[in-house]
Amino acid sequence: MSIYRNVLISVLLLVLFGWALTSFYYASVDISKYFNDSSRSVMFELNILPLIILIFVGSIVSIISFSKKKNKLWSKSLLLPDEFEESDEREKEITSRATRRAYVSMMYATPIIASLLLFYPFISETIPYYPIIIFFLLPLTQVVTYMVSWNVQYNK
Amino acid sequence: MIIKNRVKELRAKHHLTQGSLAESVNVTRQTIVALEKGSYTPSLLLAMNIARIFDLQMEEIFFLEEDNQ
Repeated sequence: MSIYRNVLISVLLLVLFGWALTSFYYASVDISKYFNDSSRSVMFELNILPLIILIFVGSIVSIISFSKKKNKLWSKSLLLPDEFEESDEREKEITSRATRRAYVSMMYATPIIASLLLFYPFISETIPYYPIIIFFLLPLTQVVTYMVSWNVQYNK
Repeated sequence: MIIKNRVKELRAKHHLTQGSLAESVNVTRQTIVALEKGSYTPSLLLAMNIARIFDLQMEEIFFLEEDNQ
């Protein structure tokens, strides 16, 4: 079913974006060290591999998504998520219910995920980019809730 | 109260497949499946379109029934 494929693509893009942000995080740590220590010869190092993969995968997904959309408006193809299956009135209803549940899931997930930040002082040495991982748990929760809800209602 | 329908019976009577009925009322086949199973209540527009395909009044296809659950 295309909902699984679309959700999987969204998760993949989120993970790639998170990975790209961690390399930018290390770069910004380097920059802050450079300003505090003028003896450093290099301002920062950046691993651009995650960014290149993100741009590459993102471009392919966007092109495929645009070519499959019946409504060939760039704005709609790029701004609306592919998980929105709305080919008829029942799918629109299922999508609106799943969206509602994904919204409600945020109300519960946000305080729980935010409280996970309290562990940061204990693991900041091991995983300095821990807040990035925590932040990305929010959209992951949302997209998984959406997929489960959509699937349950679709197969009713 | 729940809304029941005679879509399955009428579709068989008119020798229509779920796919062809779906196409003629502009919905997906899964919507017709859900409609026949009773798990989906159609919009007024879809109900009227289905009634037009079978050339019947809407209340001859869709009717209210007591919910025993």
